[in-house]
Amino acid sequence: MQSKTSFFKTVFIKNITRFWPLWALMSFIWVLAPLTILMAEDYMTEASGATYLYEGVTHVLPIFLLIYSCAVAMAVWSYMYSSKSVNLMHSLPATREGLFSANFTSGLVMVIIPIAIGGLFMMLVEMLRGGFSVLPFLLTIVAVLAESFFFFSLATFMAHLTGHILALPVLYFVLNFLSVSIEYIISVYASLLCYGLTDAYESNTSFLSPIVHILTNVNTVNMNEYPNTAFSPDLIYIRGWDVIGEYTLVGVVLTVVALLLYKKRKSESAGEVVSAKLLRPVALTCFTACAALTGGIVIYELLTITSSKCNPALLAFCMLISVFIGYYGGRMLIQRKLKVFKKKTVPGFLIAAALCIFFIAILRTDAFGREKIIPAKDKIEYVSVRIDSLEFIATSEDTELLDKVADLHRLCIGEKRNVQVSESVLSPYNYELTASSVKLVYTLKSGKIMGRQYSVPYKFSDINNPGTFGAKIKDFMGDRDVLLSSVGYNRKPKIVDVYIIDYYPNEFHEGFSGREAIDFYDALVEDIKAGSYNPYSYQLGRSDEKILNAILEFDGLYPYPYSTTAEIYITEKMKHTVAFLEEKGVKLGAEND
Amino acid sequence: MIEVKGLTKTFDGFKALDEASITVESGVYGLVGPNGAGKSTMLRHILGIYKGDSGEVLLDGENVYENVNAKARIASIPDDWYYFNSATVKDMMRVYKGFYPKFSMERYEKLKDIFNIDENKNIRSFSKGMQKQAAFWLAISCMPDYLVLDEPVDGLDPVMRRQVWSILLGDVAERGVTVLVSSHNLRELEDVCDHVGIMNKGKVLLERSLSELQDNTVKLQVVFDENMKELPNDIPALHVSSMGRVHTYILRMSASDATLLLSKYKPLLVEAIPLTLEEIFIYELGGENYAVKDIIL
Repeated sequence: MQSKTSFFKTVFIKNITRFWPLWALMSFIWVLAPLTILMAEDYMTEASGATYLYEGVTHVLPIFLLIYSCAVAMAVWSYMYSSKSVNLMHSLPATREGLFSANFTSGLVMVIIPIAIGGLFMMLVEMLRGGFSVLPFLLTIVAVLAESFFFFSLATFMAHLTGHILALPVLYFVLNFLSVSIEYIISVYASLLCYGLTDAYESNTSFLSPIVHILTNVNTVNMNEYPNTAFSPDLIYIRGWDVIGEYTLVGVVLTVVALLLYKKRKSESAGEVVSAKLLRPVALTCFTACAALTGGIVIYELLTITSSKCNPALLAFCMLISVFIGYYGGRMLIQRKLKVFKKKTVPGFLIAAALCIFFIAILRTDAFGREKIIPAKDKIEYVSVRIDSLEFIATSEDTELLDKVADLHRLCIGEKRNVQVSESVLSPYNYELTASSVKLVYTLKSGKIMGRQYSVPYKFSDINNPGTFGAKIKDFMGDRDVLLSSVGYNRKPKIVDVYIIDYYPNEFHEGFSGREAIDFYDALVEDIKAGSYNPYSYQLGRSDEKILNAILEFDGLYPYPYSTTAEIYITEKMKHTVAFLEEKGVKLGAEND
Repeated sequence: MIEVKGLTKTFDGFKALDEASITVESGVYGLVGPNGAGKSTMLRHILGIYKGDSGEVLLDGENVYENVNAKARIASIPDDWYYFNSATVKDMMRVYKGFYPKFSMERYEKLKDIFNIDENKNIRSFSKGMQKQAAFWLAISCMPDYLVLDEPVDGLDPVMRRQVWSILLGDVAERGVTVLVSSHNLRELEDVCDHVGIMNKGKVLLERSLSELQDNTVKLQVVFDENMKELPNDIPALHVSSMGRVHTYILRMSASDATLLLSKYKPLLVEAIPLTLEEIFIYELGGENYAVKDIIL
């Protein structure tokens, strides 16, 4: 009897030689990346070259691996998708396990070949440039191999779920983005139907969208993280090993599940969108749900492109149209026939339609009370607040400021009824009314993000009526702590540069840096403390008080590691600031006349 | 020996095989039946491609499905033979050689002269007949104990047909190869088959040796006395037709029994004529509501 290795070798060599253009092309792409660094020798330092390479590995390569693994899976499992080829392969004297191991191994080798070739080039380039270090290099190779294994296992798993070669890449890519996309779409529905909710969210299920999770959580430690340290190749390496490890294990599980699916797979399923009969209802449910959510919002946005007012009934109608398309379209794909409009399919459609109405209803009625949630102070890492053009951040250390933000949030929530009533009267032609836009984005200590946004209309005359929303928002925007926070005072800022600008007629006046920038900042703080800076008056269009704008640039102001800016209006009332500018020879007032 | 016992297979509610059973002992077994009878489905089960919903497929007592040893003894030529894209005969030979333990290079080389095909040429560029020849070449080189053929000579020219059958029958005689062949070319099967199985609507209607089948079905031409106004209605005929006073009866019994049966009506003439396989096929299926219909256009 012929040994097991004979057919294994046959399948292995057949796949490697038959699909050589695939791995040859990918190898070429792999070789190109290190070569570009070598070609850019003149303007790349050792540190930037190494960083470029490693960041390419963590930020770009996974996308190539995602696509390439799918292409390889399509190649090696292609025989399962045509009755002619599957009949030949399954009539040959080999077990399913044997065929699986031979095809899987050859596919994996096809995935690894470009890594080996590209890795070799990467090593040579780093050696030539003097930036080579063995350990980070080997770790990089291990990380890439692990990611490749995972993506190929995932593609193999998807290959065994479907019986159609075109369905494989579609299902594979959809799965890679599905959970984050669904979360985002649901947040869009919530922002439309719930008072104050926004589509800002931090995904809780990104681990189910592997490519997104890997790109987000596997990255490079670069020289920016070692201030005042000389470059050493040992300092640049890949991190995110927990994620890499987890996905490697998932890859092993997916491979085993794929083998089990293959052993149970019926040869006659070639050509079916979903190969396993038992999984067809699951696939139809997923297809209908995705179509309902995505199609509903797309159709709704198209129909309401000129309107900002939410229309739940129209949204529900759009979802129902999408459910119809998704449910019967899914049936057509799964059953491979157009005649799917049968009596027995109606209950399924009605259930899906009812679920959509229920979904809209629970969001619109705020069944889970999400509209009223105000995060507890001790759970907040920081909150970013924007009221019209005034922006500030309150951190967990600013307890008093957090209380004021909570009051503001409560004030906005309390205006729900007024907002809904005013929606009908708020128009560009109603000159008695104005509106304040309040946006709050909480970053919680748990890592979650909670966003809220309100656009509350009120009368101009309310500003002087204590107790009204207009008066309260004016008081809030004139609050000393708020204004100090808007220039980063509560976060011990490191001021880098100040630019004095007149937007009309758009002229740059002066720039200050170093000591001068700090002096400007101190003068500004004095004015805020003295109560002579109030951006609210400018918000209402009283531009006669404004002389100039100033843009303040900070270095790594918490919570942002990068440089950030703040913009302020300089008015004649700001005596300290004006005095500083006059001392520096900046002409005030004349340009505005 | 190939034994298929009570095999049932359903595709999306359609019963392709319905408790079908056949036994292929040795020699050449012809599986015949109308289009959609379930012949190809039956062959795919025997090759271990499909797994039946119920019933079993045994090769010398062993289940075929997922049985490497059993499958190593069976080679096949499907109706639509698959070859890899841009593969040559030599490439496909390597595949077959890798899978079949008894693949004979000696035989492969010998057959090269018979088939006269360029083994280094892309199979895709071959005509349908040449592709079929290539499939034969490789299947025979596997030195199988069992050969399963689905419409094997379809597309081959008459000379090559004869050549191929000659090789196959040679293998049957010399190596004891058992051939299971499904074909619509009944005239050709009649020349080569020892046994025949007739299928319709997923069921095996009958399976017998060809001689037994021919002995058990008879065509009688009968002339009755002119005073006989109506034909006797108690004769269990598969088919009756009349031309003037000459009546043709197809009866499922031996010629002597049929002659004896009709003798009680005192016919003026009774003549037994041997039936061809095609006639047996047509008349057997006629009883199963699969008859040639008189269509007036």
